[in-house]
Amino acid sequence: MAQKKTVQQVRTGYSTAAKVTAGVVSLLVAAHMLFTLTYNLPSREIRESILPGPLATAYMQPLFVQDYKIFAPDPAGADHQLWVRAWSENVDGEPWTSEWVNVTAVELSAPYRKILRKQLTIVGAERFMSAYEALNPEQQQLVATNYHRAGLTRLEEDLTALDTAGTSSRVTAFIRSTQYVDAYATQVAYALWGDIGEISAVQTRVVYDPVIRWNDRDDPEAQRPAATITDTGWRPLLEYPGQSREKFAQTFQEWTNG
Amino acid sequence: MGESVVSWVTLMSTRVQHWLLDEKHASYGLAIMRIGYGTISLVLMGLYLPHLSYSFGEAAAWATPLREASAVNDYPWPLQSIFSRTDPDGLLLAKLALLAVVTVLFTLGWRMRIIAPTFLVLWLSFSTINPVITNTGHYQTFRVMLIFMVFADLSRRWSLDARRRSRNPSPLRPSPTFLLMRWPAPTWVSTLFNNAAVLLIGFQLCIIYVVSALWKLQGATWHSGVAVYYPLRLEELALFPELNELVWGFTPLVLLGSWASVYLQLFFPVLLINRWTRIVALIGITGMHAAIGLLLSLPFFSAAMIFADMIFVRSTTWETAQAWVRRQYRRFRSGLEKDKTTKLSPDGRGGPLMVD
Repeated sequence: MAQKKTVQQVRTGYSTAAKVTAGVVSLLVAAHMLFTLTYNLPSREIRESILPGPLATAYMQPLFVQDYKIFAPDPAGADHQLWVRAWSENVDGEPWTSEWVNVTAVELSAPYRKILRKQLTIVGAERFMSAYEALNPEQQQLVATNYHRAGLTRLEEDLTALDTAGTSSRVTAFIRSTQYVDAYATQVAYALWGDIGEISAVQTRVVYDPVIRWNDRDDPEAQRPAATITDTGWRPLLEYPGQSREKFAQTFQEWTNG
Repeated sequence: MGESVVSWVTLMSTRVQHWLLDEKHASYGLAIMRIGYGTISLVLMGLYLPHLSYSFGEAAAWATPLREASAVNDYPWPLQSIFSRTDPDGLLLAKLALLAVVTVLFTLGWRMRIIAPTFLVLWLSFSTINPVITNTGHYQTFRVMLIFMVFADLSRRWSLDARRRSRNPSPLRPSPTFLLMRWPAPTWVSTLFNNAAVLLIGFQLCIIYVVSALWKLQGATWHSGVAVYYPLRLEELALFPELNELVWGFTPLVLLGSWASVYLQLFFPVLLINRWTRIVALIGITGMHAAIGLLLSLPFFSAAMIFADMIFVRSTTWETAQAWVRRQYRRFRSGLEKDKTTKLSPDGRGGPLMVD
C-alpha cells in the first residue's frame, strides 16, 4: 500500500525538464529503432525506396554494424576449407613441390578451438570463393595461370583489362582475398617447409566439400557429392610488416603435430 | 474523430512517460546480462590466450588485407589508440591483463559508473586488433548490447555496488548510471536512461529474431524442414559429432528443429505480449539457443542471447526464485550445522551421540 502511494506521488510530480527530456530520449530511441530495422531488412527494395536506407547505413556504421543472416537463406551444406602448397626452384639441385595441406583442418585440430569462431582460414576460404565466383569466365581462366614472377599488381591490371562490365569492385575484392590467403600460405610455407630450401612460390585452393545429401543420409554406401575447387596458379610470397614468422610457426607446428 | 485521436495520443504519451520515469525496469535481467557478458568475455580471453599471437599478435600480421578493409577502422577516438595492431606481444598481453581485471570488476558490479564505460572502451579497442575475428558473428551482437548496457543501471542487483549501498543506505544519492555522470542529477535521469537502455535491448532482440527468420524464409530447406540437417553434419561446427549424429538421425527432430526455429523467431515479439505465451517463447527460444550452442559450436552467441532474453522475465519471478534459493541455502546450512552437532558427543570427545 505504502509503495503504491509513493508511485502515485512520483507520477504526479514530474518537472517540465523530466517530461521534455523523456520526450527527447523517446524520439532518439525511436529513430535508432527505425534505422536498425531499415538496416536489417532483407528486402533491398523496401530498404532503399520506402525506408531511409542510405541514411540508416550511414548511422549504423561503424559502431552498430550487424548482420543476422544466420544459416540463411539456406545453411551451408559443405565444409569450407583452405588448402596450401609451396614450390621451390632448387632443393638439392632439383625443383621441388610440397604436398597439398588442408590448413583449415590444422586450425580445427584442437577441438576446443571450434568454438572460437570464425576460424581465420575459413573466413579466407569463403571470401576467396565468393570473389572467385564473381569473376567472369575469361578472368577465371586468367587467375588459373601463374603470377609468382609477374606479381599481384600485374594480376590486378590484367584482371581489370578483362573487366567488360565495369565491375572493378569485383577485381578489388578478388585481389584483397588473394592477398589474404597468399600471406597466410606464405607463413604456412615458412613454418612447414622453411628448412627444406628457399621457397619460391605458394599456391592455394579453396575446397567446398559437400556433406552427404539429406535424401542419402540413411544409405551407408552414400558418397559425398563432388567438391567445388577454385583453380588458381602459383603466387609470389607475401609478407606484411611486423609479421613474426617464428610465432606463427610455433602455433602452426603445434597444431600440425598435435 | 480528431478529438479521439488527440486524446489517444495524449494517453499513449503519458503511458510512455510513466514507463520511462516511474521506476527502473529489468534490474534482475540487467544483472544477469552484466554477469553473463563479463563471464563470456573472460572465457574468450582465456581460450585465446594459449595462441594469442596467432589470432591477435605479431603472428597475425598476414591478416592485414582484411583488417585494412574493416569498418572498425572508422571507430571513433580513442578506440583505435588503446590496443594497437603494432603492439609487441608483451605489451598486448599486459593490456589484455588490464582488460581482464576490468572485466572481473564489471562482472562483480563494482563502481559501475566508472567500470562499465571503461570495460566498453577497452573491449571495443581490443576488438579493433583483428576484426576478422571480433567484428563478426556474436561479437557484433555483443558490441551493440554493451553500448546499450552502459546507459543502464547494471549493478542494482547481485553486485558489489548493491551490497555497499545496502550497508550505507543513502536515499538522496541516485544509483550510478550513464557514463561518467558526476553532477548531482535528479533520480529520474538515471531511471530514464536505464529504461531507454532496456527498450533498446528488447528491440534489438526482436530485430535479431525477426530478421533472421525473414532471411530463413527465403531458403527452400527451411520450408521443407531439412535445414538443420546440413550444419549438424559440418566438421567445422560439430563439437561432439556422435551427439549430432543422434539428432540428424532422427527425422522428426530435424523437421521440428527447422520449423520451430523459424516460427519461434518470427513470432517472438508477438509472443511476448501475453504472459503465458511469453513463458512459452522464452523456454522455447532458450532451448533453441542451448541446442545451437552445444550442437553447432556456437556457445557464445547462444549464451549472449539467453542472457539478454532474461530482461523479459518479470522482477517478481526473479524475487521468488531468489527467495527460494535463499531458503534452500539456509536449509542446507542449518542441515550442515545440525549434522555437526550430532557428530559430537556430549563430552566433546567426538563420535556419534546415539550409540546402540
